[in-house]
Amino acid sequence: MGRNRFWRAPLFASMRVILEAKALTKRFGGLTALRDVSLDLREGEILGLVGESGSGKSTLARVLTRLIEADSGQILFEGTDIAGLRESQLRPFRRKIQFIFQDPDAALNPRQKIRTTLWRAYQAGGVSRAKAESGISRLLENLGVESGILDRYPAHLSGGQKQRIVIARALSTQPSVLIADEPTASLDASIQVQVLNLLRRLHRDHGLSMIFISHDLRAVTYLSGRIGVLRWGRLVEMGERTSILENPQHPYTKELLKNSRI
Amino acid sequence: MNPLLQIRGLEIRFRRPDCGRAAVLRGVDLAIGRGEIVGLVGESGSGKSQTAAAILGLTPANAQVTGGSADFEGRDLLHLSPSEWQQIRGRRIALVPQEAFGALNPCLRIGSQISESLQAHLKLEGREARRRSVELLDSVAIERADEVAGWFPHQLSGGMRQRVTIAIALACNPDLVLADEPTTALDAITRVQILDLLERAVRSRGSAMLLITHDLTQARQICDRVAVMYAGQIVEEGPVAKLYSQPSHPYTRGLLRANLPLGVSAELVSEIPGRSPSPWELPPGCAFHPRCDRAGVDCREQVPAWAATGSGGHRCLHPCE
Repeated sequence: MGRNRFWRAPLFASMRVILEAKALTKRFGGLTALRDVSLDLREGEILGLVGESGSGKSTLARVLTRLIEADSGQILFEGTDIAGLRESQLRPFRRKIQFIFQDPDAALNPRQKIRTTLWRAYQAGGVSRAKAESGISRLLENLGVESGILDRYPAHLSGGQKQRIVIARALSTQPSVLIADEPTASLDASIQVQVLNLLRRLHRDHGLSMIFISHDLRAVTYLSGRIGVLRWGRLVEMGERTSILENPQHPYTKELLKNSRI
Repeated sequence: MNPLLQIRGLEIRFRRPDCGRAAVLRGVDLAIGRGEIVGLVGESGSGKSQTAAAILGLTPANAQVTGGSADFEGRDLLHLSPSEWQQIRGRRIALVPQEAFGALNPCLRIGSQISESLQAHLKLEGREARRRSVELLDSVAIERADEVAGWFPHQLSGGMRQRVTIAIALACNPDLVLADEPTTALDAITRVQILDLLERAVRSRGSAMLLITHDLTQARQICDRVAVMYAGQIVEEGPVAKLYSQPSHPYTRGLLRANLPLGVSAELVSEIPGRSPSPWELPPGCAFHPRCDRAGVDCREQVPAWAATGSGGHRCLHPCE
């Protein structure tokens, strides 16, 4: 896998923008879930987004991955606007931008063995069965999952194991961008740390660019170099982690910090 | 003085059609004094919610209490008749649930849901009960309480709904409040407010509280004592000051070390490897030994007995210094 971009040598955040959102707006009936949100993800960085329920953070994750359509605005992936693309045109980009959501149960087919679930992901990318098999075992080893679970169904796995499988599937297409929306919120404290450490190792070892979304400011600061603060659909503040922590500008950021210190 | 609630050797077994029976609680001992706030901390599957269910007589149908006692002022809570429960549940022991939305009746106005328990337990007249309901709403910092009393649950935010369940729990000045993950469903800012409110409400009435949570940090905020559960047993217990600064059990220490810092950390936070065992696949000896960095050969063979220390105790053969 050495030649593939995902597995190349460590890469540090460059200034090259890989994914850019411009003035995204999304309304649900009378509710504006996203108001004019613009942000850029630089190659090799983890961009953290923190927000409470109703902040629009999950809507943003779904808009960026084009699971739902924005009402207006642009999503530029390496310069191409993917916001207006048809599903068939979008397909190559789907493999480049992968996502992990909060609930691994909703993400895994309960009637499929883990092996099938992972194999299908490779198959969608046109990878042969033999190559997929070796890819799967390397991935699992990398993620610290014993290969014995391949022949089990999701119902027989713990939350942490399921979330690792979801991460494995996301990585199987060798994406350039990973969008993670509350990937640890449904997990136990000790397992949360395991998954956060896993994401940090993946970032460190493979230079994966990532948008990490959470309500938990601690988790966000643990992972991210830059942090954006979402409130009521607006990005109210965005900055380097140290400046958000030490010199927050927006009153809401200050309030969040104060309540996370306890 | 006798504690308000004294649980001794509580054992509960669960039945699962495919795997048979297994013990989810394996001898839980816990005492709560009058006016004391005790934290029961554990991860999912540790048995903390089953302990709470047993205290409220709400053990699910596929579970069976197979041993132990729960002495509450001379009565064993494990052997009460439904009519005896009616005098205790909601009156002497009250619950603050995790999910306020599921706990409230969506078709009843907030005020009626509070008066219901006042009328049933304290035999208040309708008008008096309504007046008290508004007072209670006011006491949990709900603004325009008289107006909100006429609202339905869906008209309230998550934080306000949790305030309502706290008002309901405190309506009859219970001796013991069981708070089962009362802030898990809430946002960070609301979470801090609700926890603070709960503590003040309980302390000002002189009630005792058992706070059930997965979050050690949260327990530290309001509890006097904390008990840590793992795989159906209490593995460590002690006053907050001791437990957080000098944990004895490697599991407690691991959980504390796994706390994320609020700041820049170049190093990875240390994690506890592996995961909690299910009751159906408990390892022999100390249930924590496969994940423990202090485990010796003896830990694989011997189930650690409770070792009382000055102010608390632990179940570990090789406790941390």
